[in-house]
Amino acid sequence: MLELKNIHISFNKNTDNKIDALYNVNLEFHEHQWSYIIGGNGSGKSTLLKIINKELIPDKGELKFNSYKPTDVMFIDQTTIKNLVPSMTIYENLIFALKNIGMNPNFRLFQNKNYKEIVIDKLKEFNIGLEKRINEQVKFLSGGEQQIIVASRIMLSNPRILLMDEFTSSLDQKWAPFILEKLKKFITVNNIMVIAVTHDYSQIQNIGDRLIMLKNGKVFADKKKENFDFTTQSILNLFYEYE
Amino acid sequence: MKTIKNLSIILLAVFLISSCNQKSDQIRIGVIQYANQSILDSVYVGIQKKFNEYNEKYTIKYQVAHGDPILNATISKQLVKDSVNLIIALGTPSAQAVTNDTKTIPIVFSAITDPVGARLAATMNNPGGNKTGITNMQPFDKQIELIRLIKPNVKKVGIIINSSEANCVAGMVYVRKALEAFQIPYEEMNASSSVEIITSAQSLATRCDVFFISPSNTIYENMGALKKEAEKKGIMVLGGDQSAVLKYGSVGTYTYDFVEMGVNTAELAIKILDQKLNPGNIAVSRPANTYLYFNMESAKELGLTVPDSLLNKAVK
Amino acid sequence: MDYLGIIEIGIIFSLFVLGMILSFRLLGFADLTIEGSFTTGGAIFAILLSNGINPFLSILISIIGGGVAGLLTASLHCYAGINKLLSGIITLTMLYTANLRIMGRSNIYIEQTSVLNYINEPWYEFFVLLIIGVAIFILIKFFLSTNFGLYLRATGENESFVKNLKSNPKKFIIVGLIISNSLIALSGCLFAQYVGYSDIGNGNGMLVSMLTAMIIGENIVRPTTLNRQIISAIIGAISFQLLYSSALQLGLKPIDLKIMIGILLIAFLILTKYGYKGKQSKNIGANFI
Repeated sequence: MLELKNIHISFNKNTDNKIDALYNVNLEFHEHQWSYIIGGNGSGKSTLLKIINKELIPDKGELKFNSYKPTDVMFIDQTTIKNLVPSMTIYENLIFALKNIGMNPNFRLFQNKNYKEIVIDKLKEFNIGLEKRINEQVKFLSGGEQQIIVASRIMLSNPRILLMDEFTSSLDQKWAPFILEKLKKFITVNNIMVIAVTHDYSQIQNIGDRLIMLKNGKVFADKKKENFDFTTQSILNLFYEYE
Repeated sequence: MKTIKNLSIILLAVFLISSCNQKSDQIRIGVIQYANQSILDSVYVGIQKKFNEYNEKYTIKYQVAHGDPILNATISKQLVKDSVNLIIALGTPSAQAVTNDTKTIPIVFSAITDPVGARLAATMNNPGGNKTGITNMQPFDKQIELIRLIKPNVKKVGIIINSSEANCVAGMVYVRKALEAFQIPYEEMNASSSVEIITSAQSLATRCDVFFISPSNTIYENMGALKKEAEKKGIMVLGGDQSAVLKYGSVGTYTYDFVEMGVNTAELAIKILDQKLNPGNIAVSRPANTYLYFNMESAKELGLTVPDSLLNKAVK
Repeated sequence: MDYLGIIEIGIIFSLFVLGMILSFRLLGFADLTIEGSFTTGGAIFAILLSNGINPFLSILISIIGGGVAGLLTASLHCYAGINKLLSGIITLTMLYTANLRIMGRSNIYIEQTSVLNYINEPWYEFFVLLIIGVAIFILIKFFLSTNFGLYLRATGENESFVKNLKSNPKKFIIVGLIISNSLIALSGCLFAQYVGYSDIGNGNGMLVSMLTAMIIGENIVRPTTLNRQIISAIIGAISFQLLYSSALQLGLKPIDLKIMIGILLIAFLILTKYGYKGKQSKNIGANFI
């Protein structure tokens, strides 16, 4: 369980336009739960992720990892290429994700038959032929292909907490459901906690287990799948309510 | 493929360039100069003047390294590779580079302040190896003597030095010796930039009545600043090279004529080539003549009278 | 033309270029310390050798000296938060005094026999340089082929990527600059042996010259893989020296050589930046320009 207790954070503290990015936020996240965080611009969604990723330290309040370690957290940026090293090959990018092999900077050689097999097997799961192109630089892949490499990174590194900031926002409708479904299956099997920020409400219905809506840095709504209908229409209704 | 294409273009260019190399029966002298400093340039003028008297008997291959170590090494290797008959090296790093590159081609170095300190010569009398040359260690004893002759009642001499310059450190040994011989009290201050020179000069001005110009390039480059400080306090400046006297108001100095030093250098080279001498056995020499210069305006401003016996000897 | 000499100087400079590739290209750190550490390498070597220290030990200590300079620059940037260019300039300025203090004077002639002139034959010098060059290139190739090397490259291109892996990018900047400056000190130390003296001005203009060598190398060998990037160092250094000597041979005045290097560098930089028909460059590494 991951707990956020009474979290406060504000920016531009010493100026007139002080912004309360998060105000008295109390949340609990559980394993096996794909939580979506929605809200308007400036509602504090990204700030929340950054606090969990320990990029930002809250002014007040407590972040309790309990049985988790900070290294269990993986953060995926909304700009796809920021999750990759552009001029490195597919293979080199995925080496970083190999648990106990690439995830610490040691002096082991990274060109290795066994690692190659692991990487190729993972890419084969997506069935679009990327496994034959592992020596290509990722900057020359299409947006969808790059996102598949990011998804493979997630699967290979198998984090316990996954933070995603608009994971599929840059993808067209052909790729987004395909990648999300693969990821959902993996996450269910491996019991991973996911906290995702999104603007694309259509994906929530199939994927999400929980919906948290933020307004001006406060939790406005917190709905579970059991007692709320996750269709786009009902989410939009929620927004009108909030207006 | 692109790689090979690019590489072959470069190689082709190089071969075309290298085939332009011409050969001739003339005696070939290589001259390597480390930088375009006024002294070295004057020395080269003298070298050129002497060799030109021989109506194309000698060809000079003259190259300046512009203070660039790669260029210095490249020029040096190139001269050795071209197997010129003799190499003249102006400036310490250039002389060191050619000394390192050849043990057979005779080397004549010139305008080197401290050949022994720079390990270009084992001793002044017997340099050893394939090299000898001419030092431009100034006649400091004569310069110091001038202080006594012009200002017999001197209280204290102030000297600004730069201890990071090998030439300056080497020259100061002679300066101190001369000052002690003439029983003149002195004070040294270290300065390695124009700002430090000004502060040192201001400090020395409170205690000294004469500034002596030390053989430091930093001082030579900032003569203007030194002169200004001296003028404010009415202090006599003395020593330095020709331009220190003529341009920067040093009252007087004994120094060499660097064009003549170049002529002497060329004469030494010709002697080695004509008589097939071993340079290592020829003592490192100083230029044959020293010249006395005065700046009468400065002397007048300070209310000094220069003895006629000295004035008669002066060039200017 | 002295082709053997060109290759020899090329090998010495290829170590410099390799060091530059590490800091400029792979770490994206335009490190100006290098002109100073080049001089430091020669200075430490010359003073130790003239005090009768074993030549191999002298080389080792001069390499460490370069590493310390790199450590200083990296620490200034990582811990004092000083801008990359500025930290390099600060260290460079301090190295000027340090180098003078090390040598005790501005210039030392190396008259003792050392590694390069143990046997006074041209082939011997070439042979030793070749062995040193090959050994260093293999070592660096090995280093960059490890996970650590991979993280180092990632730091140059995407620092937040490394942060998100819960690794500290500072670690890679520090180690990278230490290795880079050590290589350059080794290059300076070999250069001093090769030309026979260590002078306070030995590093003058090296940055631009070697940057030109690096860019020439990258334009001949498109560094699309790590191996090609490493090879580009040696090709670049030798091509640079070849062009340099030929220009001199052609009768180009040395004073014009500086302008030639400048124009060459500008031309190749523009080519590197815009020369791929508007496409993204396939070269690896960070863009430091």
